[in-house]
Amino acid sequence: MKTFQWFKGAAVTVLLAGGMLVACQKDKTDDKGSTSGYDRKAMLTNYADNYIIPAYAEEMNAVVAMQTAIKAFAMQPNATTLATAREKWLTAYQSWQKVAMFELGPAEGVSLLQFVNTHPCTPSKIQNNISTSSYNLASIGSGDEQGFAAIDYLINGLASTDQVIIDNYSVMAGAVNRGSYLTALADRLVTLLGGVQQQWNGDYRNTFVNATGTDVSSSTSKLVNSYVLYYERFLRSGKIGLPVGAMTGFSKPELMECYYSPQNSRGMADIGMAAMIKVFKGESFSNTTSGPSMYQYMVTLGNKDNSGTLIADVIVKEMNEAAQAVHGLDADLKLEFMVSRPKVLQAYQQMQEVVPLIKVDMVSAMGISITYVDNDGD
Amino acid sequence: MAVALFSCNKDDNGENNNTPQLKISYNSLTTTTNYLTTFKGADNNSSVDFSGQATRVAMLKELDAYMKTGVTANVDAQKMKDMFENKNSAFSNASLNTSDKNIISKTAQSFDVTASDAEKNQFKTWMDALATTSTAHGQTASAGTAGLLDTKYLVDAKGFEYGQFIQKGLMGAMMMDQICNIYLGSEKQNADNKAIVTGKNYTQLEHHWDEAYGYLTQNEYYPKPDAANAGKYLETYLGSYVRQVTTAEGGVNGSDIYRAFLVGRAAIVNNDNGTRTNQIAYIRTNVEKAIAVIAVSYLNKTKTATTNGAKFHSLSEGTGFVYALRYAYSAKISATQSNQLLSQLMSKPNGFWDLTNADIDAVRDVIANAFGINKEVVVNH
Repeated sequence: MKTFQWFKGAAVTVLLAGGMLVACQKDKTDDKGSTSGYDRKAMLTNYADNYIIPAYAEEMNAVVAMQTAIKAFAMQPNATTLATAREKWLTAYQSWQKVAMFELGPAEGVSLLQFVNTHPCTPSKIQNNISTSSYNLASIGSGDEQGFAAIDYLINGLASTDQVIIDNYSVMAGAVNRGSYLTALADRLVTLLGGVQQQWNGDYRNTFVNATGTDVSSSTSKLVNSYVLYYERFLRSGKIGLPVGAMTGFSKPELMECYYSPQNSRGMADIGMAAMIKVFKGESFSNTTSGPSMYQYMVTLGNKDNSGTLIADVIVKEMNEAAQAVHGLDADLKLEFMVSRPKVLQAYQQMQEVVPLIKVDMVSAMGISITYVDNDGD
Repeated sequence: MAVALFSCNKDDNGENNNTPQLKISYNSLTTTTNYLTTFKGADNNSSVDFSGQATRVAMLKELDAYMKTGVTANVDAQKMKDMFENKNSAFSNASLNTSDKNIISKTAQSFDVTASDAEKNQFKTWMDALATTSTAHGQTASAGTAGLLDTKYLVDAKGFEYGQFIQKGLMGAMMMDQICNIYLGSEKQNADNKAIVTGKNYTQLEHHWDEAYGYLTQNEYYPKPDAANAGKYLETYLGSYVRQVTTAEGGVNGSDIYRAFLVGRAAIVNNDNGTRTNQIAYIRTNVEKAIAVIAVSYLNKTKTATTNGAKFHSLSEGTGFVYALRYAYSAKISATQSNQLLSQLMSKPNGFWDLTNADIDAVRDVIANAFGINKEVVVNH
């Protein structure tokens, strides 16, 4: 009898102690995540080493080549140097589309996306900077005075003929200042992107792959948040939704990318969509070999839609349909925004269908939360 | 032994559970305990009364609403000051106009008279600036030009949104100062706890504690979700921002601060000074920390905001909170340091327009380091 009572007492104590232990450990970071046991470090490593770092390498090469071409044009403005500058600008801009969705860590710290690709640019501010020679491209409100869109304006939009554009840099009043400013914009992109690349090639790569939890400071949270934010705000809305006036009811082409060289515009959106799909599937930057990815994570989590299809596959399907719809538009989106609004709205709708899948379904399946908000209510 | 085993945290919440025969047991207090009905007088009615605080919060609400009309019409500096001082029937709610309460007398009250005067005048200066800026509501703002950004934020030529300086500033100068320095301060906390105040059902000490509570929230528990709006809450101003900071951001949860208010109030009923002292320290530390986290968060959000309007709005809110930090108890960021940080944010030729990410980071890092917070912290609003 005594023994039994003692045993019962001990068992209760053990239970109590066990309960206490569990309660204490509630606060510990769970680095494998909910119930999936998915190896997030492998996913983050695949993204860092096989996509992000090579993508920044290609982008840097392209931006440096653009800088060289722009300097050559500013020094000797003629039809040949202008053509080369335009070609290298386009290549660098296209390369940017492949890495723009990683606005986290070092990129976020320098507000990379805003300084590299705010569009539209504001020509009046640019003109003012040129004539006063007084500007600070690092100031927080100056995104619309620099970047690829500003360069588009300066090499494609200053005048309606190439000869007059060239004259702006050679014989017209203010030519020297114009050349200086254009060069400064190219230099700024090299500096900004170079700084970010340096961090990825240095300490940040390890910081990134080792933050393996699902809390807001984890790399998975940052990766998914920047990916979804980019898709929603900069790809869907920025490239298509806002210029076509999906919410306002009327087109505003001046909001588009490549406004001053619209023949490049749809191609830019194609590259953006293709990159989003590639990144989702965890394909390496240089070929189609795929590794651990958001897609694979979603397959492992196993979430399905009402028809029993894996959400992971629904996402790929919808993204492909969106990419197809965008590709079906004319190469010149400025024209499309003005004369084929219904067709563009359909492409927008296809792009929109991806949003709830990635912003709601994928995010909640992974046990993370959307941390960006459009406006804060006060 | 059982009590010790159940305590997982290094700090056991400073609750002295070993005193026999507590009138109110601390263990009985939970995150949804009703503050109003838990503390009753001998007449069995609630002994909790924070009507003076509720009145001033209502005044701030009208002032805030009036300031926001500057986006569509000119606002009048005298009217704002009248609301600040409760003069000339400035409020549309008549009961506020006839109240003997006002905001100005509770603005920076813990500072010495000269310093307090200077801070009161700071608010009036901001009101003047807001009135002047509002005359530009019909145009778009840019560097050197006042007006609207994103068609909804009214800023002056330097990008300053004065309504935010005033609103956030008063969360510090009135609410945090009153809670942490006045009502939880030694003078009020030395008030009598034996005699019932004539005509009331509480002691003076009980009442002061409730007056502190009334600046955090006027609800029966905190945080209180809005049953009609999932995801929304029913606090305003300071209480709303303090709630937004949780352990995930390096602070404590709003419910933890609520518990400290409950426990402290129970400790007063229990005549348990030790427990009460611990709750005072807890509230002071964590309200201050929440404001610091919010300030850092707004500075970080400035950099990621993608329109100038969103940037300068976020920056103006952050600036208001940087200003507010001086009103903490034994503030980690004193008025002098706060003014230095404000100067870094505000004194360039074109004000906010001339700031770089590095400038913002410099200010942010001072605050983050002073509090040991993650400098990248961002709070979801």
